[in-house]
Amino acid sequence: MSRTLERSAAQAPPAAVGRVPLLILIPAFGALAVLLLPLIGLFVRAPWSDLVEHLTSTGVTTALRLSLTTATISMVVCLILGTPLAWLLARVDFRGRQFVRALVTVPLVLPPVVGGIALLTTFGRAGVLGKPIYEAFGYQVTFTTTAVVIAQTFVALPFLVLAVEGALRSTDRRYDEVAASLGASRWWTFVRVTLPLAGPGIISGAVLAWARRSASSAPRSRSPATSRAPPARCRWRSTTPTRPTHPARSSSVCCCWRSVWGCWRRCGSVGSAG
Amino acid sequence: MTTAPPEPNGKGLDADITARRGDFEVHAEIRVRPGQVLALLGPNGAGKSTLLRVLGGLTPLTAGYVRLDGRALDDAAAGVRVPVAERRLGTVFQDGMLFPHLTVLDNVAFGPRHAGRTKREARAVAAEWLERTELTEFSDRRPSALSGGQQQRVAVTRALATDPDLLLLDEPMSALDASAAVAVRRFLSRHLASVEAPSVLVTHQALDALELADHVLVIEHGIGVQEGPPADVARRPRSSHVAALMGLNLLRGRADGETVRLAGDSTLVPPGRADGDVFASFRPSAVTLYTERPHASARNVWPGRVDGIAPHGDVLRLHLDGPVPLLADVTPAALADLNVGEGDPVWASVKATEIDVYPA
Repeated sequence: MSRTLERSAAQAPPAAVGRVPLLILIPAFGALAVLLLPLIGLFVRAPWSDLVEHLTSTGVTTALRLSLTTATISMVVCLILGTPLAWLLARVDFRGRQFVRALVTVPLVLPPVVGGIALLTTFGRAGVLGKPIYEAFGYQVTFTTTAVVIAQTFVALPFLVLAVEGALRSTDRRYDEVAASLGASRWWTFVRVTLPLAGPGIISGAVLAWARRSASSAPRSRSPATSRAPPARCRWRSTTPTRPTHPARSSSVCCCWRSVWGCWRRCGSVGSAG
Repeated sequence: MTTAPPEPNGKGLDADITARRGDFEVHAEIRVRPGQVLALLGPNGAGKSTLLRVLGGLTPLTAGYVRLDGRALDDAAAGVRVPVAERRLGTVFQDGMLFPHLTVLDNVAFGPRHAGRTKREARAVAAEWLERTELTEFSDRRPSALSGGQQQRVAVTRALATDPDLLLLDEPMSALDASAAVAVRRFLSRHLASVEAPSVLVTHQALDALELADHVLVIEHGIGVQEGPPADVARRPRSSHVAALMGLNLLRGRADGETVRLAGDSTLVPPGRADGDVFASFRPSAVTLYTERPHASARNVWPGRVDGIAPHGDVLRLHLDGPVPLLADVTPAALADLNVGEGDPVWASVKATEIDVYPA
C-alpha cells in the first residue's frame, strides 16, 4: 500500500514547484545545439549512396575490426587495473591520495600530441621501457596492436577510474561494515558486496571508456596502413624527437597537471568533509 | 559505573572502554554474562552507539580493553585490535541494512558462508533459521519487496545465523513506525531468549529496555550514570532524562531527618526518615491539583503554573512550571471541574506515602 503510494508520488508531475524557467531552458537547448550541429553536418555530407560499399571495403572492415578488438581488449585491461585503483581511491585513507587522484586525471588533460610523445618516449624502440624490451626480447612495441592497446588504455583509464570511483563513493559504505561484521574479509566484501552494489556505475564507466577508445582510434582507421600505427600523431616525431620541444611539452604537462591537482584537492576536501 | 561482574570462568563480555565521539569522550565499563541482555539506554548523542561501534571493532578505543570469553578483542595498552570480521559478531543495525542485491535467503546465508561453509551448506543453515523465525515465505524476495518491520526481522535472523559470540543491536526499533516496532520488539524478546552469547542493545526507548534487557546501563554525556535491573532503574531513576523516559517526577534535594530541602527553598516531606543527598520520585498520577491552597492532610504542597497540557493515554498530562517543576496527570472531567488552562496558577500536592525517597 505504502509502496504504491510512494511510486505514484514519484511519478506525479512536479507541478507544485512550477514551470521550468526560460533562463534555464534556453541555454540548455543551446548546449544541445552545440553538441548536435556538427553531427548533423557530418550526416548531411556523408556519402550515403555508396555507404555500404565503403563500409564493406577490405580496408574499412580491417580498420573497424582492429579498432573494436583493441578497444575491447583495453576495456578489459582498464577494468582489471582500474577498478582496484578506483577502490583504493574511494575506500582507503592513505597519504597522498589526492596526489594519486590528480595523477590519474593527467591523461585527460594532456594535449593529444603530448600524450603521443609521452607514450613514444616510454615504449618506442629507443624509449625508457621500449629500449630494454627491444634489447632483451627483440620485440618492438611501436607499430603493433599491443601499442594500440597500450595507447587506448592510457587514454581511457582515467575515464574508467573516475567513473568507478564515483560509483563506489555513492554506494553506502555502511554495507562494507555490515559485511565485515558478518565475518567477510575485505576481499570478499569487495567481491560480494561492493562490486555488485557499484555494478551499474562500473558498467557505465566501462562503456564510456570503451566508447572513448573506439572513437579515439577511429581517425587512424581510414587506411589499413595508418590504422596499425599506435597514436598516428606520434609518427611524425618517432625516431628523433627534436630536443627543443621537449621542455616546452613538459612544462605544458606540468601546468595542466598542477591545475587539475589543485581542482581535485578542493573537490576532494569538500567531499571528505561531507 | 560498572555492570554485573563476569562469571568466574571469564565467560561473557568484559569491557572498559574510553573512546572519542566527535569532540567529547565516551567512557563506560560494560560487563555482560552469556545469555544476558544489557541495554545501553540514553538520549540521542549520549555516546551509546559509539560504545557499540567500539565493541563491534568499527571504532578504535583510546584506552581500556574489550574481552570476550577471556579473549582480548581490543587492548589499547597492548596494541591489540582484532579486525571486525574475526570478532564473531552478530550485528543488527538501525535500518536493517540488508544487502539490496541479495535475496532474503542469501542475506541470511552471508554470515555462515563467510564462516567457512560452502554455498549449499550456508543456504541450508539460512533456510533453517528462516524457518525458526517464521520468515520462510520471504526467502526468495529481495529486501526492497519487504516492509520495514519484515526487513528488520530478517536482519535479526541474519545476525543470529552467524552463531555469534557477541550480539550487538543498534537501535533496532528506532527506524520503524509504532506498530512495526511492537512486532519487532515481540520478535526480539522471543528470539533473544534462546541466544547463548551476551547481547548488547542500544536504545533510547525505555520500553525496549524494560521488555528486552536483563540489565540496564544509562548513558548520558558519554558516561554511565545509572545501572541496574530494568525494574529498579524504572522505579528509582537517577537522572531527569531517565525519569522523563519512565514518565516519573524526579526531584533532588538534601534530607535532614524529617524534611528534604529542594532547590529554590521548597521542601518535601518524605514518607520516613531520610538523611543526606536524596532523590525523590513519584508518578504524575500521584499529584493532586487545586485552584486554592489546600488545607488537607497532604503536607507536600507547591504552587505552580500550567505550562502545557497534552493527552496521555486516558488522561491529560499537565506540565507545571514553578519552584518545583512537575508532571501531573488528571482526568478530563477533573480538569473541567478545576477550570484551569495554560498559564493559570494552581496548587499541587502529593501525599508523602506516594513518594519514593532514595540516596543520591
